[in-house]
Amino acid sequence: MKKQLKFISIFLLLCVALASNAQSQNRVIKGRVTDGRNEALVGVSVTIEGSTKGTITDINGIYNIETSTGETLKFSYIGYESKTVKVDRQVQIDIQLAETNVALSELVVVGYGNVKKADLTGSVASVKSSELIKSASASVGNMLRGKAAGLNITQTSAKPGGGLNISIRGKNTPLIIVDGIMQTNFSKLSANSVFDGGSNEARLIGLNPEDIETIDILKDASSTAIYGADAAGGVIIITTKKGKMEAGAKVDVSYSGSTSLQYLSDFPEFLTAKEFMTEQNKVLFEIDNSVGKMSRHSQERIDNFVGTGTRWIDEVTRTGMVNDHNISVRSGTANSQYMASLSYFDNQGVAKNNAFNRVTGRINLEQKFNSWLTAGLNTSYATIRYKDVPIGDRRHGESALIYSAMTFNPLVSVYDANGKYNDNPDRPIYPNPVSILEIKDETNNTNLIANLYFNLKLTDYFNIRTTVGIDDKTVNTNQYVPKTTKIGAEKNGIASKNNGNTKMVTGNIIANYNRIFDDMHEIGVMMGSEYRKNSWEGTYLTASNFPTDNALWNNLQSSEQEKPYISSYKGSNQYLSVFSRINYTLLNKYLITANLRIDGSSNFGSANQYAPFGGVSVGWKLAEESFIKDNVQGIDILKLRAGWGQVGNAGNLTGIYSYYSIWPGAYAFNGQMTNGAIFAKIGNPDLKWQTVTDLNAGLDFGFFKNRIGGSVDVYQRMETDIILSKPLMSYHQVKSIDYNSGEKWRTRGIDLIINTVNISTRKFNWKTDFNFSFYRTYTVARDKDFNPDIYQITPERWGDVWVYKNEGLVGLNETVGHMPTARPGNIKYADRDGYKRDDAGNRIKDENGRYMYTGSPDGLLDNADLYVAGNSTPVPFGFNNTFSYNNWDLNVYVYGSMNGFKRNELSELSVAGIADITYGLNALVTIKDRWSPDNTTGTMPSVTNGNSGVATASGDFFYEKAWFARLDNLSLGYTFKLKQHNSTTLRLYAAARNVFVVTPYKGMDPETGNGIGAYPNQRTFTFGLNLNL
Amino acid sequence: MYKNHTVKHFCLLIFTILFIGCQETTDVPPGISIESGDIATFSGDTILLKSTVSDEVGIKKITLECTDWDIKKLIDLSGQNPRVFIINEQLFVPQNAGMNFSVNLNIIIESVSGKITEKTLPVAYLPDTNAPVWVNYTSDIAVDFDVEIKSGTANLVCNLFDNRGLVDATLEIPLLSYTKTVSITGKTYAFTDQIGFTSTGTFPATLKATDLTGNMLIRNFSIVVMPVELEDPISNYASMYCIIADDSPDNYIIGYYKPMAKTADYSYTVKVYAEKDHAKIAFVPARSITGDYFGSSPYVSSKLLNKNGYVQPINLPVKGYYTVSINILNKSYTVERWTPTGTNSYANQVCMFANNDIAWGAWVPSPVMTPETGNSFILKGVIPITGAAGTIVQWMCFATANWSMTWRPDGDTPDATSGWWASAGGGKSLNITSTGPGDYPVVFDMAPTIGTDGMWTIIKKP
Repeated sequence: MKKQLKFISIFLLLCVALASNAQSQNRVIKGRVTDGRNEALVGVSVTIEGSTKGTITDINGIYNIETSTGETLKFSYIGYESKTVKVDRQVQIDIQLAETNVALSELVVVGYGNVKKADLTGSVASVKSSELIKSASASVGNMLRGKAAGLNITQTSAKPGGGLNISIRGKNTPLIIVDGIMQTNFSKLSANSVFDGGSNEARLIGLNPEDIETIDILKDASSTAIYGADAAGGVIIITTKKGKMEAGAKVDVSYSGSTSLQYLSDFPEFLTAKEFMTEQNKVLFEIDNSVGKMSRHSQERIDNFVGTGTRWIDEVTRTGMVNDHNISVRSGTANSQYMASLSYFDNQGVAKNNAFNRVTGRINLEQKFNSWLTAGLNTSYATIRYKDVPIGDRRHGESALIYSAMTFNPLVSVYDANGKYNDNPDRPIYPNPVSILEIKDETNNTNLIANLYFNLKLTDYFNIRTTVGIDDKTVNTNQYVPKTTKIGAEKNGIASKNNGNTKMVTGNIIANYNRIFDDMHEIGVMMGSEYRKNSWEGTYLTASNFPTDNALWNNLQSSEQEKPYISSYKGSNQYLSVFSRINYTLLNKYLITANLRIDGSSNFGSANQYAPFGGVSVGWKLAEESFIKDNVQGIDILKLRAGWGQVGNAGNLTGIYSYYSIWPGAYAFNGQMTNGAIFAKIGNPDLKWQTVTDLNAGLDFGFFKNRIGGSVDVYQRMETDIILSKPLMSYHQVKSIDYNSGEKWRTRGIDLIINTVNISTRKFNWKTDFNFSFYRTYTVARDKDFNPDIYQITPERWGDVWVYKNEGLVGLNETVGHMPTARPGNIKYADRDGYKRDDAGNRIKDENGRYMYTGSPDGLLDNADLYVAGNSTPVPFGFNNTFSYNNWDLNVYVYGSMNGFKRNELSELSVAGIADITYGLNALVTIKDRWSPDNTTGTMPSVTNGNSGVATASGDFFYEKAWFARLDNLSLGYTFKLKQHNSTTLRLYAAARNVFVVTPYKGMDPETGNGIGAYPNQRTFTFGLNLNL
Repeated sequence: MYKNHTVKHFCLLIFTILFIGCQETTDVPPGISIESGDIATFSGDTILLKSTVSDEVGIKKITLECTDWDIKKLIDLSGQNPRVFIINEQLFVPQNAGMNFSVNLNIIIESVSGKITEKTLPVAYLPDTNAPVWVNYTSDIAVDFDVEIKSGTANLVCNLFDNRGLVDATLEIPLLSYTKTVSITGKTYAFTDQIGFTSTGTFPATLKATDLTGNMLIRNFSIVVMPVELEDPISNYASMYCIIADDSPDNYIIGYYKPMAKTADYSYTVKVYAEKDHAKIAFVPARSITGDYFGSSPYVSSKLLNKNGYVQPINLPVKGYYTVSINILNKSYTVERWTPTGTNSYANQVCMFANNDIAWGAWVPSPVMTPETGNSFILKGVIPITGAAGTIVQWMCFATANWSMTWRPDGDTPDATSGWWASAGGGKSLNITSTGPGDYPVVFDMAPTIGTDGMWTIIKKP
């Protein structure tokens, strides 16, 4: 019995023990997940490795998960280092996750490959898609303004899809690479078109900004040398988004949509109708000062006028609207990934009848066939439509819309009582601005970008990748000027139809070897070869004299013009290159990169056809050195970089080839104009590559867990063997030849980037990004044939504006000896200096072939009196602040230029051309402050200034400082989490773009207000949403 | 789940952004000023009402009203609502309005906002102080006399006009003891008669006409009876040129022969500029002065004849522009003074451009051309040609110094076509053949209106 009891007791104990053991193997563990500041992390993924079980943390960072001893819990959260913990006997596991050091782990695309940002040795700036401000912007180019130090993008036209000038460290036309394929430009077909619709964005407009993952900007030649020729202007590498190659990947569906309203901003103030009549009367009197001359407008007419008169700018403009919609799908499996997107962007411009419309589609695919073969296809297609209006500075028959609207007579209405367009009663040749809107224009562009690649992974260290790609751009421009317009009536209707195509075909094969030896030697070798063919062709047709306006440009054969304009062209060039890059890293501290590329161009003769370009750069990760690591706290990144590189440029001239061309109407036989062939170009067989040599030194830094980070680069660029066109002696039939000039250009500059995390709490965050660039270019050597004028010194700084210095206005009874035709009220320019002359009065030169100054006034106004009034080289900067508070986000973005100097042509037109008010042309209100015998304290020149003998463009009177800071974006958003603990989010936002500009410039806009009748800039208000499922 | 006040703040932000920029506008009644001044008129007349109407918010409609004459005209502007509108209306005075009337014309303007301005314009009777007019008056009328049958006949057509109405007309030829009086009703009348002559000579005549008010026209003229002037055969020429008769074409590179527009069969017209008082012109159907040549009869200045070496050039009495029209079938011509409107905005901007063998060639602009004193449409300059005789100066054209405007001939040779026109890129420039180095004077005439026919260029030899 006792034995039995003992046995039962042991059995029960065993059962309890087993039960208790069984219970401990499947128990619930709980815990709290926090960040480095002990703030709870919400939504942290807590999974059991090797199983499908998992959970996420709640709003307090708390999780509960059923697990067993021996299993491993994995805690992962975006932006934080993942952590694993093996389950033992704990019942509570609290975890603190460390933030990922993004700056160190980021990959940067450097041309035919990637490198970790931490291992970069060249000067490369990176911009992520999430950093771009996309609302109401058509082009990625617009979005990049002020986003990277050394990259200067200015908008040359504010029209929808308007042109951009992209430069890197002052060099224009950088090479643009999309998913490894070089891009051509969109053509702007304007040859013999009836009017100019303003510049179009030609480089990045075919891309949907939402498709872009990253943009990397290679700035110095040590980085760009891998692209050899054509990389002299730097390189912009764009990488598009991909799918996710992982088993069971979630299907990410994203939609973003916005609607924007656009209003004219900073439009200049013109005379109201009453002021116009008063000033017109005054000017008529002032022109010949004839007492008692009949006024054009009676005082009764002026006194009884109510309101401002016709505001022509209101008649030709409207509230612009932008509709932007994007949808994308991304996902994949363990062996494949895909990304597909569609976008629609429509901008009805502030000018009536002016519009830009783009539809894009993209499919990016990648398939892993086995452990050694992967293939992928990236394709995008875009259709772009412009509806342009005439833009420019013309005011007569071929008048431009904005110019015409700014200056047209405010005393007439658009239509007369019969519904016909009113003319300017003072000068009927000027077209009614609204009639210009009847001109029809349509430009259709298409752009196919596709590349197919195969990646063979031969070993863990060695792979070969081959890519073929195409960038195919077509443009079709149609214009029709109906008979209801002045110029259309003169020619009985004018139609033009132009077509063009540019194509870039690229093929390359690249071998990569990457290996780490002994945990201390990391070596990477890349070698490749590339073939590229660029071709272009097109047709121009222009005809007039049509029986009806109805067919527009679609029935050219109905033209009764005797000789319509017909033209066509075709051409191509080819490049063959081999290139290589070697990276070596020692102890993860000492870095060296070498690039080499040999390019061949059909632009040069056999002696100079091929040229090598290369670069070497080194880096030293000081922060990894023990003397810093062990002794100085708070330094996360400290890296010194230095590089040298050389790239080439084949120039945009035709180089070695001599050729004849057809010259329409070259000869007159028996009074009949006949086409002829002329010797149009003399080839230069000795022409060789233009060379750019860069030196760059930089420092990358990150302090206090990268709360303060950034980089600073200083550089020098020398350009030699510059390809220019030299004038030949006048007895040659052809007047010029291309040659390698002896000129040398030197650019020195600095790029600075600072990123700070000013406040970082669980609820509130504030980040600031600042970048700044400064450079100056000098001509440091002249060609031996250069014949300098007296003011053309060497070295000569680029961007200097040499003009006469004004000394106010000529006084009432004053005469100016060196301006014999100047009259009172005209701009008076200083006689500052003179040419030194011999006894015969001839100008004499010094031993360097330059004319000499006398050092004192000589009674003449000539080039010896010019001085540098200012410099127009921009000093671009960007200043971005991002705030977040719980689910709210706020962005304040300012960009601008700390320097600018330009002529206010609008003011020049109105003030210097004030006499035109007698023709019924309106003028700026500032003309009221002009000098006249009755207003001798006036500060603006008098009506007779046009006869002063000095063109206003030659003096500094209308030049103004044009630095600016633009509050480009002010946006406020709120993000709704639609499902608890899920990535499904909805963000609603409102944004204001181009909120204001701070500038001393008094013209239309310091950036886009070029010329007189520039397309006016807009202030934009956007409402949008981003939905992620 | 979401705090209400955050949503409210978001809506407030949107509301604020939406309504930024709304501005108040003041609203006062429309303004009006009458440019046509006080109106005085008479029965059957036409009133031209010219007035400027203005309003800040826009004009909806304008009503013109005169109850005495049953005039009511509505100008509906509700489709466009302009801020300014020029009334330019013709109103007809009833034939039965009588004399010494005084009525009111009301102009009522309604703005878009409903504000109304009413202006009353008194219309008074205009007394008649003008005598009738002999429209086609000439001081001498030629009559061909057939010496074989000793007879000649004058086919007189005297067109008379009076703005109020004619009563009678009388023609007297004292040497023939001829008097003829006709009674007339209406404003126009053609006094016609066939008068026979049996001898040659000059016969003074007088035409008298009286209007309703008693104002009288008295015009003296001569009828010149002489043997037939034989002229060379004429045809309905396709082209006709006006030439500078007191100069030689050998002095000109281009511009001597100015094309005339053919207005009907045998009829041609042209606008010409007389560079001096008493400039002389004539007309030729081809660019030659050795063939058919039209001028006036040496005996009857109003008679146009084709007789090279016999006819006299036609006199342009004072310096300036003229419209000259000829009818070679009727042997008649008219010369009327013409004044270009406005002023020339390009007066001090136009330069010449050429491509080679010229001191400022290869597309370097010439010095700005100098406007003629008192006539800014005439621009003068010189082409300093350096090339030897026979050298061709290519692609001659005119433009502003910055090429914002360009003028080229609208044809292969400019003096064979309709003239010059303004264009930024069209037209055909011309070649000039040098006759030897020297300064070639150039006159560029930009009247009458830029962009239409009439622009003209003369290039003379040095």
